[in-house]
Amino acid sequence: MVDYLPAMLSGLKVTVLLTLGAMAVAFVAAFAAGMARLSRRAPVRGLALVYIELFRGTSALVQLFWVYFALPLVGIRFDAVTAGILVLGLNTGAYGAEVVRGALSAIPREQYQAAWALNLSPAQALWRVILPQAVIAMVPPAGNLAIELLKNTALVSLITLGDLTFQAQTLRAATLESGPVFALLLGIYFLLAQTMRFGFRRLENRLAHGQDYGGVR
Amino acid sequence: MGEAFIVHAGNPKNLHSYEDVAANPQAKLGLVSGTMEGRYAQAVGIGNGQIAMFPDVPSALSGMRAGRVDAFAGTALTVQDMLTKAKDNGLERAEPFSGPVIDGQVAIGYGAFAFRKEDEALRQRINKELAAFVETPEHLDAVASFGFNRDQLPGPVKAEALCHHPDDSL
Amino acid sequence: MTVSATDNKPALIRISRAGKFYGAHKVIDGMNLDIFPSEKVALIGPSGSGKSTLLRLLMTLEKLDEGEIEIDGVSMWTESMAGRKVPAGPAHLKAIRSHIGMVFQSFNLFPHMTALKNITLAPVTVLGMGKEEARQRAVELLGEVGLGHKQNAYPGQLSGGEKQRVAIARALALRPRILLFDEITSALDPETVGEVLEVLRRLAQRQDITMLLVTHQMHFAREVADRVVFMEHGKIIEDAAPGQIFGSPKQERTREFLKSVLQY
Ligand SMILES: Nc1ncnc2c1ncn2[C@@H]1O[C@H](COP(=O)(O)OP(=O)(O)OP(=O)(O)O)[C@@H](O)[C@H]1O
Ligand SMILES: [Mg+2]
Repeated sequence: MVDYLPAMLSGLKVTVLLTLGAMAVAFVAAFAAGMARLSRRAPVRGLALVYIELFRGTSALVQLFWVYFALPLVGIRFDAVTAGILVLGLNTGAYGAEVVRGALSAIPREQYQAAWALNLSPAQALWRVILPQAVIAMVPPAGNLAIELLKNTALVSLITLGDLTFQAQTLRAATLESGPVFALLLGIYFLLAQTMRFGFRRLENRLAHGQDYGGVR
Repeated sequence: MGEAFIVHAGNPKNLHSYEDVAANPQAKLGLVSGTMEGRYAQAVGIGNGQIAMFPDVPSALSGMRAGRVDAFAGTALTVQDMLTKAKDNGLERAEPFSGPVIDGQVAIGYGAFAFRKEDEALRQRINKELAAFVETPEHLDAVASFGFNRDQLPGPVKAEALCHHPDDSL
Repeated sequence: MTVSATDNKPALIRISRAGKFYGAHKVIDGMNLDIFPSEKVALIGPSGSGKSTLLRLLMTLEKLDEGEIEIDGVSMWTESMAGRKVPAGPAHLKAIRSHIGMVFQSFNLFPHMTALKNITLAPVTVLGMGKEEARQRAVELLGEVGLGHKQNAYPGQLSGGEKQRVAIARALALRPRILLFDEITSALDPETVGEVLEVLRRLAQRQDITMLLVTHQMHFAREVADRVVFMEHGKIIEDAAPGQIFGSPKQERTREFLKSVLQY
């Protein structure tokens, strides 16, 4: 198994880089689109809806193909890592947008009204009152999405990136030792997912600190 | 079975062999992962940064069209098949082309059959039948539609000459 | 404390021919009402008569459809720009709102903030008050509502009565001239109603605050209000001193309503 390590480590680097990069993209996209879905302006809502449905309604594999292989034909060219981060991030962000929208709409209208009665501006109300409450509800589903994202990174071999799964497949082809290679692969993905789960758990506990949601507000 | 490259029309980077790619750090070579071409590329000293591994032939073709790589390496057969199906004026086969020289010899891939060791009788029987069948007009006829012709036949080369490993059961 | 009819001061709140629709349903219908500085006005009436809607209009939580509301002589929903009357912009509404505070039936405290933070948020972010000053003031206000020991409690750790007292302190922190109370004891357990009413009673003594309170507690309205307004179907039916409304109402409808709520 020691012979596998260099290849697996280089795959691990690619997988971790893509996961972290795409998480950052997804974070921004999810908040932007999730809040835009609740905008008072119809075109803004429409734009967000198009983005969300486009990315949720087509598979990440196909999106990778279009961004990496087709966009260069119209002069838009990303290197493979950028294309991978962008596509996986926007794909996860489309699901995340619904998480953001759902959590924001779950905040009772009365909270907006109380903020309004205290003369907070809409931006202040959102930032100080609504988001801090909504974010707590976003963390567990965001953790799920992040782990989904981790597993989705296995698709990037389509665009010539040597992620963990790709390296494992290559090792398998070279050594024909499917069992040990896949056992190692399983172990690494599991550890990565557990690390992420732990991180999101910590975040959730930190954000929820001191709050008690029992009863009337 | 010999090797071949697909390049962009006019072969702008002047790539006619694996060695040409190795000698030009700007050149990028595409290949399908898990194939012999990867080992050839490594063997002639093409850097990892110069190689793009595609998961399959269609992706490799898309990669060529998108300009992701300067050349695609495959067996002559794969390359011919891709070009025939692609019908793309922007792509062509690199001509002339010389196969990768490894350990002082031009590398050539041979097709083979694998048997369980217990099936010695079967192996001998198939070898006998193949010897009788190969090169007959009937044989050439049957494989012609896949793009094979007399050029790809092994001729006098024997399995014993190609396989050195004591365990090889061919 | 005097009854409006004998007062010569200009009205602090002037509602003229006000109308408000929800769809085709007219919930405030040609309403005229003047409220004078430091008055304590109780708003009573059957469910659905438009009491909450009236308070929400004053808090700018709803838009007025007809007529006019003026606060201290300034029109709420229009402002003049280059000599012309135009619909009020956000800045104008913000300025108007700075005179007005509201306490809700369901408290609406911010659950992610301590009692203290609930109170300091608006003074710091809206008035730009220094953090330390805001904190000291919040501590004082919590003391005034009898919750000096609950500064660091989150709303989830407070009883209903305590939450409502924090909400009152929060509204007071912006030093509004007008305070609106919408059935603030309706969501409370009977044993905590008293502590909230006690706070209201003390507030009612203050001359610098004008109060408009919607309540179903007739004895309390009678006790603290200078004036009682009975409304039904978005209209004012009777507007008089508590002694008169509860003693000898002029209108038959008022009499019927009081009979039904008092026997209950
Ligand atoms: N957002 C709304 N959309 C549609 N109709 C509404 C809305 N809010 C209130 N109404 C209707 O307007 C009318 C007046 O409501 P309002 O809440 O002002 O009554 P209220 O006098 O406060 O009653 P209660 O004593 O039950 O609180 C009611 O018929 C109510 O159903
Ligand atoms: Mg009401």
